[in-house]
Amino acid sequence: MLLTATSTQWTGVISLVDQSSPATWLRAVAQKLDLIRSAGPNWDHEGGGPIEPRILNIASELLAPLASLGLPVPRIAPVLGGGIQFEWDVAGKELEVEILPDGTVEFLTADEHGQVEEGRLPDIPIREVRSLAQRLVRNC
Amino acid sequence: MLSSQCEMPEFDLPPVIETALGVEFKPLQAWDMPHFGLFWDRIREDFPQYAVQPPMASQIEAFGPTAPQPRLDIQLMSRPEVRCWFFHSDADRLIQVQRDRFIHNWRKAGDQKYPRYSEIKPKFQDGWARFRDFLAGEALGTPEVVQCEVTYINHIDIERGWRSMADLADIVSPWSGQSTDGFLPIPEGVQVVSTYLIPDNKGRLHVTLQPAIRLSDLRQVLQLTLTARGAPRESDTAAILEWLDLGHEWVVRGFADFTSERMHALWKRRR
Repeated sequence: MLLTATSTQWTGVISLVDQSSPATWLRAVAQKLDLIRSAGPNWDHEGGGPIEPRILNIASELLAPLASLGLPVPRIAPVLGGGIQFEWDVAGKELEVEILPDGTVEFLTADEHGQVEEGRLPDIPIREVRSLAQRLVRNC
Repeated sequence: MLSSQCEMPEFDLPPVIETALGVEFKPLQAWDMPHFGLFWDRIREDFPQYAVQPPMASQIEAFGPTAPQPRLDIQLMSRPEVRCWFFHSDADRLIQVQRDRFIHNWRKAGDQKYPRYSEIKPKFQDGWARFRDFLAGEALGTPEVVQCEVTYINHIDIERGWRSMADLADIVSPWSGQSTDGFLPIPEGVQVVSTYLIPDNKGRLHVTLQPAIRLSDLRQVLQLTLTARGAPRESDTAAILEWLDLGHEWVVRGFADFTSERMHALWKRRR
């Protein structure tokens, strides 16, 4: 339950007391991000530095609105250079979103016919990522 | 009667991330949708952004065995009820307005330190004065305040004193974490809800502890919320501020009493 909806609270939080799908999904995503957050230097055995909090926050901003879409929990991984990538594979459709170390966001989609689309998204593309993610569950 | 302010517990690193000071008043009968915009026009220089939210239900504290039970009133609405948020340009303050509420929020921005009640209260007072002036100017009447509210929201981040519900007994006093037969595993989730009467029916303190995910950074937290509500002796500003001081005292002393000495050390309790 989103606690800001019916109270005076401004800070957005989802209560984990209820076991609703969005809350469970967010918990799983949060745990994956926590693992990345706590990865120390040389996490990749090639001298990679820790992922910057700024990049983790962008990931959080993009992922939080997806909780209610009914998607599976994404694979989330740090990438070389200090970025983060999250990806889904749903009924033959794929979506990859990568946050580069400088904060820019790129995407790649593949539909069930193998048709690929990729590109760069605008700054903090919350609406765009949600729209791409919705395509995964459409007609499932 | 308030205890001396110099005896109030104080922390160098309190986990508070948000506060709200507010009043509930009898619904303004002549208030309608355009008044949100007209009020915004008065404060827009300081509060340049807005958002519309669903309204909050009335939550008037009742006391004694004859207190009326809460009921759901179903009414035909001739106009939609909404709540409007007005964001301060500093991004750490918010005013919330609806036909029967006025609330001022402070929220931690980045690494900002808690500015203390002594700085927050005048900002509520200023906003409330501007709102009352607006109502007078639009002939909407003088609000008849029926309740004041003080809320402090604390976030205890995971790995800052706890890792799972097994650690709950180390954080809050009322939870022992013990089981009689040792059958149950570590709880997956625990919600603690307790209420405390403020003497002489001056109000009630509500304390809620629950696990949550903070949406801004998707960090797992324990959210500890303390809300004091009660009726001021009069509807004027002096009486409102007097009650807010009482509510603040109960929130701060309640927080210190509810949480453990171990956590007080982490938060660097000064007194």
